[in-house]
Amino acid sequence: MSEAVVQVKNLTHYYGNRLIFENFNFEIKKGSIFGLLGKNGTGKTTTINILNGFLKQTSGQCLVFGEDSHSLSPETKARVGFLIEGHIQYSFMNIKQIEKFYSAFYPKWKKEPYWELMSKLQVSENQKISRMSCGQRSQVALGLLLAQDPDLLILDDYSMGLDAGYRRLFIDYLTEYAKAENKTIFITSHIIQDLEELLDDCVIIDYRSVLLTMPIKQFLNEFKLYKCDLLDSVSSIKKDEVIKNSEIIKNKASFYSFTGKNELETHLAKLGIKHSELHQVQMSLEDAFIGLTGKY
Amino acid sequence: MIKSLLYKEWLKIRWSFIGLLLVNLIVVVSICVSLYNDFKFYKPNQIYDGVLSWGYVFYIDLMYIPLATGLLLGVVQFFSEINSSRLKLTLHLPMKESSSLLSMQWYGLGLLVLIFIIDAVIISILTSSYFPYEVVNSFLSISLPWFLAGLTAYIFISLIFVEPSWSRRIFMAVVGVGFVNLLFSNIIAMGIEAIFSRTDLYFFIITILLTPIILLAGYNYKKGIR
Amino acid sequence: MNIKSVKILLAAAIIFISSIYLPDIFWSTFKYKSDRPSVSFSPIVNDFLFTYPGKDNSSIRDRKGKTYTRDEYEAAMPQLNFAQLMFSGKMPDSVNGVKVDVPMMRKNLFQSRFEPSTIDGLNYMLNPLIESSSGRVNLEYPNEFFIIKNRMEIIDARTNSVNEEMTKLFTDALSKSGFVFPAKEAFGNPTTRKPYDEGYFVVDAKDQFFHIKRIKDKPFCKKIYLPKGIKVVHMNVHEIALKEFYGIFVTEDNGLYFLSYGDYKTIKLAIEDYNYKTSSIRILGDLFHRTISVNNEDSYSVFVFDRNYNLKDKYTGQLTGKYESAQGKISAYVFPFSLSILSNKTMFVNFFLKFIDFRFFAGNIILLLGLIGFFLLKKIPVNKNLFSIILVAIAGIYGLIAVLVIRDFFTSNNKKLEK
Repeated sequence: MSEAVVQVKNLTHYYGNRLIFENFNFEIKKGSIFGLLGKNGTGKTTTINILNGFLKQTSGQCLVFGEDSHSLSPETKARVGFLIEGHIQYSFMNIKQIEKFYSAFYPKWKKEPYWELMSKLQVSENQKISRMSCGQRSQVALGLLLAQDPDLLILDDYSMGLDAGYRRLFIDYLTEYAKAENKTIFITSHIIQDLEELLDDCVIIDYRSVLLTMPIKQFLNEFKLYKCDLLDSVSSIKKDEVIKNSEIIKNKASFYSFTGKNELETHLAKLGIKHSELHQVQMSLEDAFIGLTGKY
Repeated sequence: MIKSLLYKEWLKIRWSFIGLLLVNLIVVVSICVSLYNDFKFYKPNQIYDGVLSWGYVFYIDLMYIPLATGLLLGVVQFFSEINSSRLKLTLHLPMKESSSLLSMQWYGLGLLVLIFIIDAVIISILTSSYFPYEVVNSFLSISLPWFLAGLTAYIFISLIFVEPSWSRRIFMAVVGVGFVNLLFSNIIAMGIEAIFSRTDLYFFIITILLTPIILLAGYNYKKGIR
Repeated sequence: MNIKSVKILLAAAIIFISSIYLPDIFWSTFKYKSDRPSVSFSPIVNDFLFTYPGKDNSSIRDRKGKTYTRDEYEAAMPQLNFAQLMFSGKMPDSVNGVKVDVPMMRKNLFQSRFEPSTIDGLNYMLNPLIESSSGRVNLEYPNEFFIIKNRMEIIDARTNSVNEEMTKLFTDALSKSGFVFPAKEAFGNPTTRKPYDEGYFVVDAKDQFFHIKRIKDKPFCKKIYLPKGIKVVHMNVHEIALKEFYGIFVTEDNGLYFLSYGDYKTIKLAIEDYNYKTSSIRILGDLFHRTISVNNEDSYSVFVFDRNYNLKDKYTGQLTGKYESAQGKISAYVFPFSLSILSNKTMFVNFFLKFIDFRFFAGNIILLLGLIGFFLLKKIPVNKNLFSIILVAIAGIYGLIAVLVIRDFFTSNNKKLEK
């Protein structure tokens, strides 16, 4: 079944007169892991805030389990797990108190996964969250989310402040959770490399615009990097329908494109760019992301 | 669920609450001690004369204590909520947002009332051991607006903290100062110049009516108004 | 509770608080000085002299407009200024053929005031029961305090307990005189800084009037016969060397009476324009006259009586009202109403709503046009903001503040303002 858990329709938002995005559309299918990728300041947290009902969009619609995200019923909220940027939790509680606190709110509460994670942290039950390291706090937040057993997980920049080990741990648990229980996950991050194995679908946004919305496999298959040697000196090549991005260093050129090699050859010929040894190069998700959004 | 929410509030403010209670007790005890000393060093009828005819308000030190208590409790309780947007966690809990906000606020009010009742009871017992009932009665009537000022200050702190827009925060602070200031109109210099006894109930109702304004602040918070 | 009703609540709170403070700030910025003169009667000129307080020196005039210097004024009022006249050696031997001297004038001089706020004021009902005949030169402050509830309870301050013996003695004495418990009011001077003590004048539950004092630890209780239907609302007890009267009281029907000493005769003074709830009275007694000034909001009346309490002369003057002054006129346009919790008419806090007249309507219309102009300028649909419009139409400037603060009275359909 592919019912949509989250539907975003024609979403437009301004801060004052500053446009963040316009006519933003995407759907998150049940059971998928959806990534919202973009550089800092492109509106990732804005989107998350709208999705959680902490920001009223300028226009457009945002539905979570079919309800307007700005007025979710308590029942729907119970189905949504929410990780705030920076793994913020009630830091005046200790890990035992916080488990007790949340358990009263969620009918499906499972404390085992929480305590399993906590046992790995080697902290005492009476340790206040405020006195934990950032990595430990992220585990507390993750454990609470897993115990809540939500149908939709919204993670706002889970990687913030985490070193590689904790990031990996976080991803491992998420992967396991999502696959085993057919859960839907919406994730934003600016560290792309971790997500390659995890994501099913993604949206890539840039300042003021949505660059692309597609399954991650399709993106990695269809978005290609070509390299060649230039025979004439060319200072820059304009972006167009075929060439999404390009980079020239001395006489070496890189082209990012959704087209096949032959079409690119034809296109380059049309542009009058003389070259040799045009060949495709394998890309990671991060390479592809940078290729699409540019380095700046 | 509300029980659990109040458990969170208790964990958050228990030490501050105990601290504030202690401060209140220290002030109340010092009032007791100084009255005890008055009776030790002066003739009882001189003190009676002072209280009845010359505006000697022996519990004047109590005046701003409830206000300070309300302000501090409000700051402790709600600063932690808006710090790092922790309020988002609270508002994301699967219960009606208005219930979460109001139960947090009313819980704080309840704790304040508890402290204030302790203050009032101790001073009343003290007063009744030295003076006839009329003086106890006048203490209660004169101090009630001070206690209401504590509650009012707390209510305004709570909604100022939840309110996201700075301009409105400042405005609400001004309105709050206005309301609190009204409740101190009974003291001019050292004597009691105005008596609230006819309007106690109205001011109490006004105080209660101010509490739901936090819902508007919460609504603004959810809209992300800046 | 829906958000709309919360907004209305907040609007009400803002209107409430701004209608208290804005007029207050206005009037303390643009202070209004009343042109109310102080009036006294000169036995020499045989006319009222009006003293208008001025910035540098006050101007003194009589009814015909003749002005007086300070020296002339003092000479015309020897019964008040005898000390100064003695000092400068201008003290007359006689006034109007009556031989006078300073001790005589001093003895006959007294003042008494009735303010609405003291009449409707705090009265503990708990008073010291001073021994009026202790055999000592000076009065001594007692340890016994009394309160008249369902009995005349006498409390010993040393132990904070009821002195049952004295309580019974006094309660019995009161009952025997026909006193109906509990007491409504007790008037007296609970101090020992007076030449002698006359105890208290007490109104009982049935509005009967009693004189109660303590003489050698025994009760003295005398029922005072008042003219029929008279209810005493306040009494100033005067324990002065003159011993001509016990005090002066005002009654519920706005009468002013002297209670004569010894025989308890009530003497009504023929004053007018008095309302004990709103006017204040100043009584000046001297060797020749009793001068009664009745002050009302926008007028004052002065009555002068001879020593037999016969009306000798009277004068009524009108004052420029506060709202006739320049700042008053502005305030009438700007403030639809003003609210205060304090009043000089009472010591009790209450809500005093002051409405001047309908001039504010013009002010409101200007604000309303401004608001509608603002809506049109910002392309905010006017018809969707009827509530804001009604608020400004009724509550004027206060409503406008509420509308501006609770911006989204009108943001619900507007993108620009929502952001």
